[in-house]
Amino acid sequence: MRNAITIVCTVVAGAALLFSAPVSAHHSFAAAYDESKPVNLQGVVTQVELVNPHSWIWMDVTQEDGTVTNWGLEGGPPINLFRNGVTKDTLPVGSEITVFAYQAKSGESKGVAVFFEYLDGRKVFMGGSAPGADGNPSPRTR
Amino acid sequence: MGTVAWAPRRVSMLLLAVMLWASIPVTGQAPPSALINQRSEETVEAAREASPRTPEETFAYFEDEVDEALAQAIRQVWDPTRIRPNSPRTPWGDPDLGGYWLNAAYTPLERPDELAGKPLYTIEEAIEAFRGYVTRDASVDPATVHYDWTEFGMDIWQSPVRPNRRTALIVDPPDGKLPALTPEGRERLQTQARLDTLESRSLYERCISGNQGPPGIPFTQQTGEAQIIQTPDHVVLTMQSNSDVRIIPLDGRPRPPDSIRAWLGDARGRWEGDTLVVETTNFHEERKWRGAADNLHLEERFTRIDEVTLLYEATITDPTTWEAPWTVEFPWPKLEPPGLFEFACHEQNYGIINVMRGVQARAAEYEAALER
Repeated sequence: MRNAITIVCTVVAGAALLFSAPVSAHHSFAAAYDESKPVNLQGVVTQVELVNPHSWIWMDVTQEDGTVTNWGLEGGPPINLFRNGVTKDTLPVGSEITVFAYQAKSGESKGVAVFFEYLDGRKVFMGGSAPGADGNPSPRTR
Repeated sequence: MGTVAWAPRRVSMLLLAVMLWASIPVTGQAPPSALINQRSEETVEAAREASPRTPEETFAYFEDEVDEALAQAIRQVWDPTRIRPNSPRTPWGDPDLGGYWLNAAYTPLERPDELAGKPLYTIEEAIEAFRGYVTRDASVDPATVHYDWTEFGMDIWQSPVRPNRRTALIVDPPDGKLPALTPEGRERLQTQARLDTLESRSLYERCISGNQGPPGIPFTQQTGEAQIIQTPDHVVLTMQSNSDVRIIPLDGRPRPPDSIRAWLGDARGRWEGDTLVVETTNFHEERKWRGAADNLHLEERFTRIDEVTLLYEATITDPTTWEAPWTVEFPWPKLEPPGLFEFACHEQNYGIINVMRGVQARAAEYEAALER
């Protein structure tokens, strides 16, 4: 039994080394965010910070009771977005988007964003020539 | 590409973190970080339920880009057995290393056990391995990642990195594995892992230095952008991460005294044929790169192979940390499009604030659990 466990652990460790994400990513996801708090937000972009080491998108989210909360969402590094064709005009202030994110462990209105999407499901950061780069609807549908 | 079975690469990170933690002998009370990374089946299921996309849908979104990357990969396999340095020259006759380079690799640092005794893939195997990485990277499980790397252009296949015949970055020891830690090195690593203070967070999180070395070894699947500028008597290596700059004199000047320490160490360079050899010492005692002590001796070798490839080699020697020296070797492809971005870590450092607030929240939960 012990051997079996060792083998399983070795295989998993090998897979982890092969395919793992950054263990020491800048924002330390595991330390800062709460994997048990996935949130779906819909709101209006108020500020876009394309700044290293991570971009931050701020958006106003209207609650069911009518109050508005400003959320900060962490996203990818600007140079990678740039290689993907993203520019400062890609996501204009005022755009209406949805975000799937994990909320901050502290309980603040901050999160690390898994997906940024337009209301029709297109991904926001699909690049300069890619649909959505100008914030306008596009024929690309999946 | 058809539908693929998704492989949760991010969940493997969590497993690894838990296992690394579990492998450390417990000699005292576990810190709050012991609670981190233990994502339960319930939380994973809840997140999958909440996610607007399945792994299959995410993969389908990037199918065209994946196909294009694989088509290119087949034509560009790195074969270390066929290296023929053919460096362009600077106007003053040195090998020209100048330009923008990408320090990234899919190749794992250590050779996986299932590839023991096999230092090289065949060309076909290298392409197959690359296909596996690309497929896993592009089929993101929204419930186990912290974000969709593919969407943000962060997957390695979305960069100029191409298949490599090597099965590990480590070429020495010949088994492709890190040498054993010395007892002192193990103790140092454990001490680091157990602290949960602002000062114990990494130099990178604290905006003191970047995560691109030295040495420039990608331990994670992050991409590292670098620029090399040359003059007849200096080489300057700038890394985007934290805007770190290494100014490397080539004139054989003496080293500063042992008491002078730098976060990136003190580098001295020389030419050996087509290769720039850089020896770096005098590292800051608090740097503790992979647990190394301040007597770390680093020898790096940069060789221009062709217009689009720089070969990078690094030998790490620290007998107080590892039982033997170890060497890595892998290509840095030319960065396209060229250019580095300013790294405005302090101006926009939300990271350390969020990390410390999260750690404090977990510490409070932990103390409450202890009281119960």
